Amino acid sequence: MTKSKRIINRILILAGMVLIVLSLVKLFGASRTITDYPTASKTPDRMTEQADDWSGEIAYGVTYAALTPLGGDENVTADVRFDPADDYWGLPRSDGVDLVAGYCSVCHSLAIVMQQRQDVEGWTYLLDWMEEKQGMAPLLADDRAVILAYLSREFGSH
Amino acid sequence: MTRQPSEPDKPSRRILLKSITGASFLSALGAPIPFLGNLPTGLVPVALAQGTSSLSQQKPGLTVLNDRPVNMETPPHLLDDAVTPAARMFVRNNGLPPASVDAHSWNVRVDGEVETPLDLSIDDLKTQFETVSLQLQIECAGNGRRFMKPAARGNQWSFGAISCATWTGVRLRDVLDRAGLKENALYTAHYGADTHLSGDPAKHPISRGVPIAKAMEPHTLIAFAVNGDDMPPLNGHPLRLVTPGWPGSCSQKWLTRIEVRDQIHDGAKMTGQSYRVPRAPVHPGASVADEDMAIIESLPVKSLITAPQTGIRVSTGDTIEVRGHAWAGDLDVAALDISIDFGASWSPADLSAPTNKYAWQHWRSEIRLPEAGYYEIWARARDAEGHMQPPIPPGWNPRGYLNNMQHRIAVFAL
Ligand code: HEC
Repeated sequence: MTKSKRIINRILILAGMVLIVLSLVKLFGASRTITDYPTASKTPDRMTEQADDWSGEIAYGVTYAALTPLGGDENVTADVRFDPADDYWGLPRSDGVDLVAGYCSVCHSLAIVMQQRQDVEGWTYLLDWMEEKQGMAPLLADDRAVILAYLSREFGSH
Repeated sequence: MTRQPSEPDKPSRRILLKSITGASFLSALGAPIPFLGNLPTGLVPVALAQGTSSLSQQKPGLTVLNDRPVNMETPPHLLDDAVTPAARMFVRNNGLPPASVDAHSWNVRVDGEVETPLDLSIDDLKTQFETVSLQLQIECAGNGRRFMKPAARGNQWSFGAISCATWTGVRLRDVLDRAGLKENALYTAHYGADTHLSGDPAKHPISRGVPIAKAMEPHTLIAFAVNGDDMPPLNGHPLRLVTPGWPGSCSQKWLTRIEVRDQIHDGAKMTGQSYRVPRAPVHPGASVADEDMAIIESLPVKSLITAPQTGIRVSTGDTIEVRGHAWAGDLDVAALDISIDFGASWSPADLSAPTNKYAWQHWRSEIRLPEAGYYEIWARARDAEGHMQPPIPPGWNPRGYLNNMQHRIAVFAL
């Protein structure tokens, strides 16, 4: 064995020992972390905080969206609520709100309109259904376009 | 009230409504609104706030989905009673209930494919036929619609469009026997005294029917009382059908006429997509042609957890009682299992036999939550033919019917 080889061997052994010590420290440290780690989410105190934070509703949508986990909520205006005290019953104020408030409150409450989440096709079907089966006077083409755009924008499904 | 100052150009609702009844707004719309004059003044939406509060007086604690027509559902924890109190029966109105009702002069006509058409007062029903009392489930076929994705059209019911009260009346079968069914009798057609929202007297808000076999089923009743009393006006006083286990829409309220037909009834909400589901399964969001839709008959197996109330906090390690009801349309419920670990393991609950066929069955169980944390209790019923409730909405359909997914409640162990 040459001198230089012996030196390299010693360096390797030294490096090996350092590595072993380092990983022992790491292991020891890690196991310490595990044993010392307070079961944070399980302590009654923090559970109470979590219970306080809870929305009050079980997220059924999450399971159903299993095939498209990132699908998200269907509607941009999901928290728009029917409000009998508001001048426009809580309808979002955007182009067409007065037409919808006027036409669609004659026979029924806007509560039934505001519960829906439909795309353009779905809203078209509903407007046809109002006209053909429910006795709504046919909408003027211009008004219909504005109403359709309003409904599928504010109460759409995406 | 809350008019946005940023929109000074928008007319306020009150102005809008005042003008909508005036000629100027009508001509501005370009088309008159038919039968506007027929609408009772009570319909002026400014009166809505009061309308809603009287609803909550008639049905305290129920959730109002729509105030005109009235649609209200019962939160599961208010359905804990073995027999649903009248004030806690959900309401699904398609039109406007009759304004004034006189039970003494009320009449129901039985005609169509019968030997002898009948005109019967409520007194006639009480004196000429055997009176029966049965505990019967009535559920809206759209119960659970809210969880369909993509969203389905209609009132967004969650869990509470179900009731199981004790109905008193006569068997529809006995009345049809008296009238004498002709050989070609195939289907019933039901009519009520409620009026269409448009005010058009020629339109029925809803007129559905059932095959003769269901009409002749001894649990299908013409009912004049619930829980030993007059039924609430919103639930059909003074007379209604109770067709248990089938869509609630087969249980016509404010009943005035039963026509026997030699074809499948084609009245309001019998055709198109109403109370129908695709014949073959479709992918969520599919558009389905009317001719590919089939009429719903028996509703599927289902259950509710009525106690404790969702969101309850309990002490870790305590034993708590969990209970509820289960029902299965035309069938009995054979078993009910509960899970406290998101469906990983299930254990059987005690399940009672029904008081009579078509009464819901009660179940109960005791659980201990071993560690602090967020738990969900899931309930899963199985019917006599082995069908179980799925954990997610089954079979998406355009109108969002028949969602019998498992009910879950949240429990925090602290
Ligand atoms: C002439 C009367 C009339 C007018 C005007 C009217 N509707 Fe309706 N609408 C009805 C009737 C009747 C129903 C059925 C109510 C029920 O079954 O609860 C209905 C139901 C609905 C539903 C629920 C659909 C379902 O499947 O249950 C929606 C959404 C709706 N209308 C939207 C509208 C919109 C949007 C407008 C304005 C463009 C409008 N309606 C104007 C009569 C009308």
